[in-house]
Amino acid sequence: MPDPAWLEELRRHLARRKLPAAYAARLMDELSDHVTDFMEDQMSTDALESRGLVERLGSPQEIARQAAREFTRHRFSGRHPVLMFAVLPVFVLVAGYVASLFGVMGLGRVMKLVSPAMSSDSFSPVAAGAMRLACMAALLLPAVATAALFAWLAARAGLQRKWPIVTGVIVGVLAGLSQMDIYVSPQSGKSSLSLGLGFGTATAFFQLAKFAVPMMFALWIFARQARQGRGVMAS
Amino acid sequence: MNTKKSNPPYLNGVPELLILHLLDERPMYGYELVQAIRVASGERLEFGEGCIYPILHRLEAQEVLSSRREAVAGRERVVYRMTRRGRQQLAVSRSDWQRVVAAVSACLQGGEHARPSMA
Repeated sequence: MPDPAWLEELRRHLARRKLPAAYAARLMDELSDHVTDFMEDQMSTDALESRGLVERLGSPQEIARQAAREFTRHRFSGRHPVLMFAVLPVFVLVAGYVASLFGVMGLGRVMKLVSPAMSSDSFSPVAAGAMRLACMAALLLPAVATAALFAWLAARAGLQRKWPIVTGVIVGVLAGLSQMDIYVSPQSGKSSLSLGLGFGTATAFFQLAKFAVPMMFALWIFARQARQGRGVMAS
Repeated sequence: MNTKKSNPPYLNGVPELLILHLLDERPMYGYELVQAIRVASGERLEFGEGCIYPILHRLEAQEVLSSRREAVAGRERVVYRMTRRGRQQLAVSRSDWQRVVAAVSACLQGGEHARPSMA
């Protein structure tokens, strides 16, 4: 019969390391088998081992530390966290912006918004408002999606909280400074869309939101994912 | 609670080498593998037995090993076996190890470059 106190302590340490539930469950299963084998061996031999179970297996803390280290070691995100959480999000964000630009462009065509500028008087107020909202969404959604994706990956890889924060700050700053301009022309090949960085006081509130929202999502996704992992392990 | 002393830093990579070497001989489950390491090393190498499983899981994730639940001696156990990639890695690891051992031995025995010469 496996030592319940030792296994329970190990379970607590694994939960503290925020390892994925399936990984921790498998480790617990195999260690439980190991303990059973050890006990059976002890019973089948006349001379009891002088060294105890805990001394042979190692402390729960040491095993959990080793498990976390090995788990992150074989993952790309664990071996190259800077590349993964500081560099890659920039490219993903840019790709997201390009996709959203085309999305806004497509929306413009669908809505037959063919006037020279979004703020043009030739727009109906509803159409102009819709385009403005679409542009805001096109700036905000890729940033939120990028921050959330990398936070999820960090939690899944059992990494520290600092990595989703790094991604959140980088994505937030880029998103906060990003500006989008769209020109949809009725003539083929004359439409244009542009994306750049800048800071204007007129849109400061929205820029602040573009900075804060991705960061909030990143932390929320990371905490949720980590909590789920702990919940399953504790059950 | 007592704690087991962890492996000295210079033994990094040694458990992996022993695991690959022993699993190259035949598939084994965790406890069996630990006993095999103890016997093969003449009980001179001290590993925290529990720490073998995270290493096995990593090697499996790297596709160096594969595992399958099998009934062994009346119980379901996770049995590990080598993959083709594992055999390739074992060959590389063996060669690296022999090179390191030769180099360290040469240094310890006062080899040609053991004492830096003064210009």
